[in-house]
Amino acid sequence: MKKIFMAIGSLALACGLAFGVAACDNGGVTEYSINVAGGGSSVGISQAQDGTVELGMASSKVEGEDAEGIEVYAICQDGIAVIVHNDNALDNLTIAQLKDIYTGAVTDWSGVEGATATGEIAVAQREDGSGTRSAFLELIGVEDATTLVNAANTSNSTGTMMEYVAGNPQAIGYISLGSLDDSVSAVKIAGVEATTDNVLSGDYTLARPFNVMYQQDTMDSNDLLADFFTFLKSSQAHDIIVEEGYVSGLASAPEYKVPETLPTTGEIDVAGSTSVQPLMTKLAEAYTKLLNAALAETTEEAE
Amino acid sequence: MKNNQVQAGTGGAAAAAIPSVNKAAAVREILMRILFAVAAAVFIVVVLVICVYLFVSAVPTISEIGWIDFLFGDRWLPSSGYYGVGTLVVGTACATAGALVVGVPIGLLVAVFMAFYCPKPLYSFLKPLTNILAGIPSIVYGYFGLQLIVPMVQQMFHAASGTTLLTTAIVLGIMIMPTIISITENSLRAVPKSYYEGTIALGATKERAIFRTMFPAAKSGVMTSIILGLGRAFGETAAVVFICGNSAQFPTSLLDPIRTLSSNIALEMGYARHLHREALIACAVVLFVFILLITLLVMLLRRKEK
Repeated sequence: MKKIFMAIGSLALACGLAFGVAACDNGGVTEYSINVAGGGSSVGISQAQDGTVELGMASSKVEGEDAEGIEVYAICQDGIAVIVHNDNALDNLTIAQLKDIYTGAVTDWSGVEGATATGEIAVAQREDGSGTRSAFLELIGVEDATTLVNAANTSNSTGTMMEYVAGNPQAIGYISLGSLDDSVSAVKIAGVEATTDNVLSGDYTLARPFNVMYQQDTMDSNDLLADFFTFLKSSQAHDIIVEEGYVSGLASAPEYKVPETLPTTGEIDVAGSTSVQPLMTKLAEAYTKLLNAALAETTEEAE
Repeated sequence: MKNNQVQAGTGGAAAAAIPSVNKAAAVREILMRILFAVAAAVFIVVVLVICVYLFVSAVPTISEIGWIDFLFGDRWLPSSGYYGVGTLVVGTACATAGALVVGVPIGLLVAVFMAFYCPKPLYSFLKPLTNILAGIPSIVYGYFGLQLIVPMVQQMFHAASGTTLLTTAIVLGIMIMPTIISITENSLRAVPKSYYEGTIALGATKERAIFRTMFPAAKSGVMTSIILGLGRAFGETAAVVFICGNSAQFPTSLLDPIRTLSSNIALEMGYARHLHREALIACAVVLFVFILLITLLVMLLRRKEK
């Protein structure tokens, strides 16, 4: 027969009462939490290097001096598709052409080779503050937003942007690759088609990695961090990444299962890129929910 | 005030004279009075809290940005540190003016038709129709504008984009029509019939009687309807954000996209943080101040009427 009691108050005490329960092995952790803060990619890199946080986040490549003393892992890729109306036969654009269009150096479709649309280019963009917008501007090399076309049609969601482009033969816009469907046409960038595979292989240039950085020592000694990494490489993480519109390379990843012995570390801090932050928050929430549910089970049940 | 006290006094005296019967009634009366007072107090507190909250949160923000930079700046690019609402105020003003140009003439003429020309069977159809038009949620107007007016404007004028000042003016014009129609019709009907009969008796035609006698007599009602329509167009958000193009720039033609104060808030609230978010609240305050001025105008007109 199963005897159930509720543990109210200190978990260490509950462990003392319920002999031989798995929760007793977890060092008295009563709740698992992953604190996700912003700060920017550079903060993520420097804080991971000096150990202020267990995990740093960056929305750009971490190489050379930046990567010194830390390990880098790409959770997913943030790919951006450039879209035009289905009647526009425009096949290919270069990054330089995109910059010209968005800064107003080219304003008419006659100045764009391969385009079958005629007349003025109706430039569509996302609103200030959107992650897709900042990624797009960064990738096409627009550092000063004041140089952008003033008359650009601004939408505050991928859906509205697609509806606008689908309804305007002269329009050009951009969306995250994960949201692309056949209501609009995606343009090749420098001859490379906007597909998940091309983003993952690195051939498609209108994409940026969502990296996390950690120190190998911390990873070896911190079992919560190590377990969180198992989750980041799982099918559950894949589902969340795809749902958020990013490109995931985890399509055939195994399912994450809460380990028999729960982690002995209760808390880790994550900081860095504000572009990665919303996704990381979602991942951390899903992970800690699983872990805390398992923790509650082990403390409530004793034989 | 004095009148009130007298009434309260007589009520009290009556209760004292026949205590057994009226005690319950007196208690009920006091309870109801408290209830009404509480209701009024809640209402006042709500209005005050909104006012105070908006101003308290906006003033430091605007000071931080700089009053001149905020109110007259022609660039709204929060991520790059530009927080000027100049283009937004001009965009809002243009959209509102355009809505009045579209909505007022049609609205007034429909009101005249309904008050003086409309056959009874048609009236019983037309009147509910204006009420339905007033009850349609604004997001539906926005969708209707996006699907119908936006492509129409683009094709008609061979514009690069159909999301323009003109499109916004047309949709907002349609949205304010029911307000203008019903208030104008009511005020035209409120003019004593003898004015009309007297004018006709003097030999005027029906049209002359309506436009030279009835309209001037109903002037303040007509003005109120226009100002209320203006207020609606000014603050409208859900419809506008779909169709105005949301380009923070000074429009140079009817076919330029614009961005209004309200659409700016709706557009950027989602991802705004820190000063950006506070600046959006400051935008709401600018909008609020304009709406306050419009309300004041209506009050002045009403007072003049009395």
